[in-house]
Amino acid sequence: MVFSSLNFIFIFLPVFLIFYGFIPQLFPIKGFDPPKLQYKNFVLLLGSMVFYAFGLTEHPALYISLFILTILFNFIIGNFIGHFRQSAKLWLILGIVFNFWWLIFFKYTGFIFTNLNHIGFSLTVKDLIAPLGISFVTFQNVSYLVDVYRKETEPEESFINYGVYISMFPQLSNGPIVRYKDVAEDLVNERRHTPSKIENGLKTFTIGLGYKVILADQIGLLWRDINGIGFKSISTGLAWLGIIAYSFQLYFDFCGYSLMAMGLGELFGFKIPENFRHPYAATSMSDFWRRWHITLGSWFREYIYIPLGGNRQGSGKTVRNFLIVWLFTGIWHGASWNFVFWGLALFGLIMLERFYIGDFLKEHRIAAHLYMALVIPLTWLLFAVTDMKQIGIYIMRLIPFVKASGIVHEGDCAEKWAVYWKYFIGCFVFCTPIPEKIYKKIKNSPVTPVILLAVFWFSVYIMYKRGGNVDPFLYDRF
Amino acid sequence: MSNFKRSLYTFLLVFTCLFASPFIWWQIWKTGKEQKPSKTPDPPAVGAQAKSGNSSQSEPEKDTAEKPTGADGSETPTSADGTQPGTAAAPTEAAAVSTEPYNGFILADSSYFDDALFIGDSRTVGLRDYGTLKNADYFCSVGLSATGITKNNEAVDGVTFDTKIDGKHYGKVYIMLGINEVGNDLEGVITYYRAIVEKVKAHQPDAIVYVCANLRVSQSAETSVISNTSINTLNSMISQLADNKKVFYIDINALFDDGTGYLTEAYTFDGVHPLAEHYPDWCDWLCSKAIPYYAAN
Repeated sequence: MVFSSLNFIFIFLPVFLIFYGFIPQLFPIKGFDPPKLQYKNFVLLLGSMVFYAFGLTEHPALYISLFILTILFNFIIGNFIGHFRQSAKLWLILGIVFNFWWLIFFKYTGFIFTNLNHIGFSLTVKDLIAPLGISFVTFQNVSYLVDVYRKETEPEESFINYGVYISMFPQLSNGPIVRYKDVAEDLVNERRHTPSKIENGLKTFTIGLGYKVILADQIGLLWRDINGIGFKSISTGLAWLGIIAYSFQLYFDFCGYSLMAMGLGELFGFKIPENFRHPYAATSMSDFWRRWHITLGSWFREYIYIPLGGNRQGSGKTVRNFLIVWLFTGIWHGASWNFVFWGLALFGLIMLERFYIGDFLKEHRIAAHLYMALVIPLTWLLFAVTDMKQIGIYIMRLIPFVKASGIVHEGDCAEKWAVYWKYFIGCFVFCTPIPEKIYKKIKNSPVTPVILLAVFWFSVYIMYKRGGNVDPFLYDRF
Repeated sequence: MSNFKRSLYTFLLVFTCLFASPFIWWQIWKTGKEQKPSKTPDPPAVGAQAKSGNSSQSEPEKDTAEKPTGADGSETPTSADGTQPGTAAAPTEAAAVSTEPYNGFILADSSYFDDALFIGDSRTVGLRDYGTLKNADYFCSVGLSATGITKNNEAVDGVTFDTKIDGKHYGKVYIMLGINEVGNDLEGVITYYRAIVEKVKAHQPDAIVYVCANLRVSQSAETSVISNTSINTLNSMISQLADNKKVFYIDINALFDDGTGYLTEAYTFDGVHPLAEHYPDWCDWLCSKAIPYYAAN
């Protein structure tokens, strides 16, 4: 169930809020400690399990049990690490192996087996259905175990609380990747639901919804059109327009989702960390990745890059560490070669900046923005198209004067622009930090609720119009 | 008051949602998938149809000897250059059983389409933009339907169908509509469709009308609303409109079929439209569906 669906907003969320807000008050049950808070956490855990179950198409009982068992396993291992310090390392390794085993089993065996078959093996490749949000869940579990091992946090004493941390539905399927110590306070202390927190959460949710439904989904139709035409048959202008549209779609899709998660979190009294900080306003690739999917970047820095030695052991080792991080980043996003090459491309650009053009970009802001305007869509092309042959075709179409192998309809770019220009302008404006600055200034003026109400109902209108066709988040794949 | 002001958005949102929820629940209910006891389409019927399409496609030139002219005496169609048709009578069995597939098609070159008009939806838009028949006229737009044309008098680029059909002398009119309304009541759809055929016949008495089967969708694109079962039903209703004298039924599906009654996945991205690179094949196939008398002129 995606957040930008009528089912979520008008059925799941209200029903859940009624349970969450009133049941612990009206029907107290003894045994929860502290009574009201842990009851609330329990309701949140149950609600998240229901949310999880809605996302399952096959073998719901099996996947739910597996999910609960992995949470339980990590909960126990976390306590072992915390309480048996002598054997802590052993438990940590066991925990990490266990978590990554599931991730590899569900997400990468198909890819690994296919490639082994290329070099002479004959293994059966199965199309396994990965559990909802497995990439995110695995990273959260591992970060918790490592943090407990490093004594950065105490092990969680309550299974309910740990279950809420992992499964909380606002961030279950698509992140942000929350570290346990960031929400530990909110899990064990009485959360205060002040009217202004609720107000703020709803506002954030609405902005995210608008990003997703009004911008991402709409401009995403152009990318779908281009796929429908086939890359062989697009003009150079349309090819460029297409990857720019995809770049916008991906950003507003994922950023919108993260904002909705933040807003929902705030509604329940949690502070879910910010995941995007105007990445398209970045002036270098390194800068970009400090602004894009921030929680993933900090995960890799915290648990891979720094443990490997970071940049403290000479430039040779630094390059190696970067390479490892970016290969993992690539493969984390999907199990196919294009993601590997995408990660390598990012590694190459970041190294280029680090050793050669970094200073130049710092001094020449306009050149830096132009450079980013070129490399952002180009790297997203490697991300968007999973078939390497198709990527090759697309790249050839990006180059002017190279003749298309397919039949090209000459007016295609102008025709599509006539349809989509308003979304391009809207996306461009909202990529800059300006709207947020304005929003912060007028946040508490009476105009803002009226504008946001219009955004909300316009989004609902679009969802209403498209009926049962829910456009899932692009990041659902990962 | 300041408390109220600080929760203004919460208040507005909750209030409007309370008001709107019943309507939205109704919408969710309406668009919800109905549970059906059996979801599998009927493969034998589909296969048979694909086969029959295949055979008529594979022998377009063999049957030229039979040369049905499409003239039936009561109407004397003139071709674009005004010559009278020959005296050859229409094949009698075709007149008697109008739904029998016509097999007198021959191969023509693209000049056959100099006086052709294509009426259709997004698939026809693809044919226009990526096909090779640039000499033809097109009345098509994404989402166009027989219902839209007949009932709502929908315009394409500001031109209504009534204006378009009177705009020029047409020798051939191709109609390919229905995919956008295949989820509706098909009896109603075919009524609107028939109205278009009748209008073409009335306004372009010299033209032959091709009523074209709707291209089926791929297996992954099939939904409860757009199913190949209903597309096949609609297509067979469309085929009933043919009289093999002035109105001919042609079925593209065999060209793109995966052998099990679905559009081949490799030919399409969204499961509904062929990739642009395949439209030239479609055009070649259309060339092979020329009616001898009209091709000769």
